[in-house]
Amino acid sequence: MTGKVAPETDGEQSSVSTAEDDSTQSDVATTYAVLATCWREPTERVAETATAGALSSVVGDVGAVDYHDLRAEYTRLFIGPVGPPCPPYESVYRDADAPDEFGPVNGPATMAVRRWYAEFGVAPSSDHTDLPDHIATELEFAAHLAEKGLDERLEQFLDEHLRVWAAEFLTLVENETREAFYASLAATTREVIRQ
Amino acid sequence: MSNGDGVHRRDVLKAGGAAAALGLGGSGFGKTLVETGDDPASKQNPGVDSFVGQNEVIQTVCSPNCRGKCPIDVHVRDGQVKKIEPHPPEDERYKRACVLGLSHTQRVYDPTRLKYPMKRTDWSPDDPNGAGRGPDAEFERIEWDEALDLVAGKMQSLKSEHGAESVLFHEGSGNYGQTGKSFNRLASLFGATQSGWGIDANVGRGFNRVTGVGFFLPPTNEAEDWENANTIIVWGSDIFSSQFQMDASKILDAVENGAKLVVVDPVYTTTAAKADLWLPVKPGKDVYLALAMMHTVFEEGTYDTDFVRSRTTAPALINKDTGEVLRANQVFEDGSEDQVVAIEQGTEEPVALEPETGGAYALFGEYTIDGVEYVTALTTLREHAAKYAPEKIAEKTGVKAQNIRTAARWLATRGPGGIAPSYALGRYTHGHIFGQAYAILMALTGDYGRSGNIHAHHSGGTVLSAGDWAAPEGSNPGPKMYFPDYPASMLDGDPHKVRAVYSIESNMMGNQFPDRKKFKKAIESLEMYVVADMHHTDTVQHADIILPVPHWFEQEDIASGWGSHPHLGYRHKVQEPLWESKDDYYAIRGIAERLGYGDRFPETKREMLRELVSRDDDIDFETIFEQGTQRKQSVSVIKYTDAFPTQTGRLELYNEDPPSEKGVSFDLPRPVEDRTADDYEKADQFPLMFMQKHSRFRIHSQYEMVNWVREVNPEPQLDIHPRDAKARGIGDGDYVRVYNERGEMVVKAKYNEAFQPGLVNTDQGWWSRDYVRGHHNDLTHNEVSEVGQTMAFYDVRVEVEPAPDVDAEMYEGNNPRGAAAEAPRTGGD
Repeated sequence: MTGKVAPETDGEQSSVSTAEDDSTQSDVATTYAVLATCWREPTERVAETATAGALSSVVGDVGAVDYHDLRAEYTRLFIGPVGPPCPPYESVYRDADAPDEFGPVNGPATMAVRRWYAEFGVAPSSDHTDLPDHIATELEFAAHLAEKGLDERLEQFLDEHLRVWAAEFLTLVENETREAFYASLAATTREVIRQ
Repeated sequence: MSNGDGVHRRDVLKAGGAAAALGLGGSGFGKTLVETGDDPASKQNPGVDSFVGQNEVIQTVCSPNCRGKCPIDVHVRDGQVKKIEPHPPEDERYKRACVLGLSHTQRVYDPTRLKYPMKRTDWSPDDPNGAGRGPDAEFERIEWDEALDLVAGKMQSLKSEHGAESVLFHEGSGNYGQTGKSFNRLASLFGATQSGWGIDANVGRGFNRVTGVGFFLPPTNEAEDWENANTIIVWGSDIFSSQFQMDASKILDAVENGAKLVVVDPVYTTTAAKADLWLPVKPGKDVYLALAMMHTVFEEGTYDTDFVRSRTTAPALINKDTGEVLRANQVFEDGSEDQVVAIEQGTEEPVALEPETGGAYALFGEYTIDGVEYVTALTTLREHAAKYAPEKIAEKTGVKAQNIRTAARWLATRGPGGIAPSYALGRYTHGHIFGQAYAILMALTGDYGRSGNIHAHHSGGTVLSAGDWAAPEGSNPGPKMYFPDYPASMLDGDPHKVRAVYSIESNMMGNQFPDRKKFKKAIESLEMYVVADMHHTDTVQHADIILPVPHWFEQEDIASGWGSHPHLGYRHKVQEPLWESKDDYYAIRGIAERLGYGDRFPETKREMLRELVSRDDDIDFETIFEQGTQRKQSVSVIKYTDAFPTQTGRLELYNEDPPSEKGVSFDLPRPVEDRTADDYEKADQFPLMFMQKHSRFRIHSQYEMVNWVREVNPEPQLDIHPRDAKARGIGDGDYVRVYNERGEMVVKAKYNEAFQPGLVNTDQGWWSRDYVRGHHNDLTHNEVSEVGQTMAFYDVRVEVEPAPDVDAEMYEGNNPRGAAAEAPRTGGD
């Protein structure tokens, strides 16, 4: 399928771990924050930043990114009204009755995520109309944990949540998307959350 | 596409530049998660409490148009809807709810629900680009304010240029509450065209010709009385399959009390399987059967003499030459034109007939008054019915003469009973004639106004009486337009051109209306099509503006028990709407504000409900709010106890000023058939009648996406008798092409001996995406009878052929069901 990006699984592994060792808490937090922003509905600033090449560390060299095209693709993949083909919510992947079904939104997994947030004194703001287990919100929470220097808790959150479901979601995105931006973002996100 | 050399984790971790460029500096990058101010320590292990805690139970009402209106308890724990249970209403005899209602846990959390207001990308008010509607349309998210500005702005400009009636307010039946009243109120204030019901209004119209009541199915005794019926003839209704909330149990109560259950149906239904007697009528021949039953009643002399004398026009004198009914003002100086005249036996003098007044009136015979020859109405009816003696019509109807006689005998001689027809009869073009016929049959047997009588397969129930709220003083309601007239108005401007449609609670235009291609073409001609819904239906896909509506559990409302039970139910909100879906009332009031009618709409939904309830003497807001349901005491359990709202106050067995169709006058019920007729011109080309029965798995096109349902009912099928199938080389389970002059659909054939040869069926309610190709409503037509004005979904002919080379991959292997069917799944990796 077009847009499919093979995950990096070659000799880069060792350099990855080196990079991790070298990184500062702030770098990790910033990384998750950048990913979270990229998984939100695109703003003009995101498109401009990507076009300027300033997001190459996240989405590679995707050339000029048209804001309207990006928004249309985001709508198609994650909002609808058709489908959407790639619901960006954890419970959809974790709480299904059968492997060939989409699970519900606002499922048990969503509640578990909400508890994590509460434990650290945060919650989606009252004017935020999307669900708390949206990929972007979970990445934002990862950034929050990293920023606080809670490395072990970050690892635990990744183990209990993003590492459990995101791979299936990201593969769906890679298979479905017509925009290099999202294909690359999916591949990068997979790499970043990998153990 | 690829991301070139790939992005390495090392690079990602140097994302500081990216962060800066995105404006994510400092610690304020969090855009969504905010500090709650709670002490995080107090939230340690919050899960333990929630697992040992109690469910919060909220009473609400299940509200699709199955007419159940079942009060339910929704169990919420930890912010999630966990379980749904039936809740007995105030009068516990109406305890109800079905497994579909219990599946709302799946609908409320369906990930494919509509989430945000959207606009078709290539639509604008000045350049609607109608051809862009349909399967390939793309949409962009917009804000609610922008959506409402666009809708109100376009409505206003259309009103200025073409008049307010160029905007049609179309209301379906998908969400039983009071929102429709606010929708109609806005339409009335604006002057928009309002929708007139063109489905299921056939049988009732015919019944009305005799009784003065009926549009949908007529009033019938409330269900609590059904157990007193001695004979129940369920006519064309699979009540045990499609009305299992409560009506089915009431029929069974009667059976347990000793009632005889007769089922008249072309199909050996679940209900037929439980009957004492099944009359397997051929499609469209029901009027013949009703007339044969009348003949039996006459022949055996089992008509109710007292009843026909006191409450019907049976003794009325009809002028033999002119067919006119003799009026009291023609005979007596002070006589009323509203009264008809009979001959009193003994004196042999003419007397005027008062409503509800018995007497020794001559029921049969010919009489001469002032040299003019008259005959009684009952004589006329008896002679007419004699042409349809059971032996004469047995072959035509497919029902054995002795079984017709048995059914008529049971109805006439076992004490009060009734006939419970469904809307299916009205899905044949001339179904109104059956309404007239069974109303008269029940008049002969005296089955009106008594405990144990039944006149419809669902009871009357009740509605909130809100007076003129939907068309208030000072408003200027536009014309009413029946559904079948939509295409001509949109395409040809007949009777006036509809240029924009605002649609709520309806998946009709893109799915549930017949002759879908025609309706889609009609939609294409519009300048604006606004659709409010909870799901991405076929109709929504054709919209220019999509308004996302919350699940019932996310709306506060009052559900009426129309067609169901005599309660109103308070629909308490169980949770806040997900995403940015908003109650229809929000949109209606928002548009009203923009059009200058804001002050006519209470600020909140609850205030509106309070205002409506204040207009109904039976209902007290605090009581229904606290109690959840309230029975309307003014609803009478036994119907038809007073004078009939006809000119004479009596049941009019003979219609002096009848409508006619195809040259046939309906002074008496006379069979007229459309495509079921034996000599129908295209009967050879399309030899099979095509029904789309209601199934137990969906309510119209609702619940289509529910995974639990799809597990047991995964795909549309064609029920076909093995004889018809084998004659066409079709094996059980083969995919077949069903077609006629309008279109086609491809479905799996299912050998089903319950369907008589010559009749095939696909259950209604499937969406486009469920078909390998086409849709059942590509086969149905939009031609209605002049009198019935009702879409005739079952009066359709088709032919079927094998479709061996069709690609049915969507139903092979482990392909997804329900909501996931629109999404490619990777699975396994």
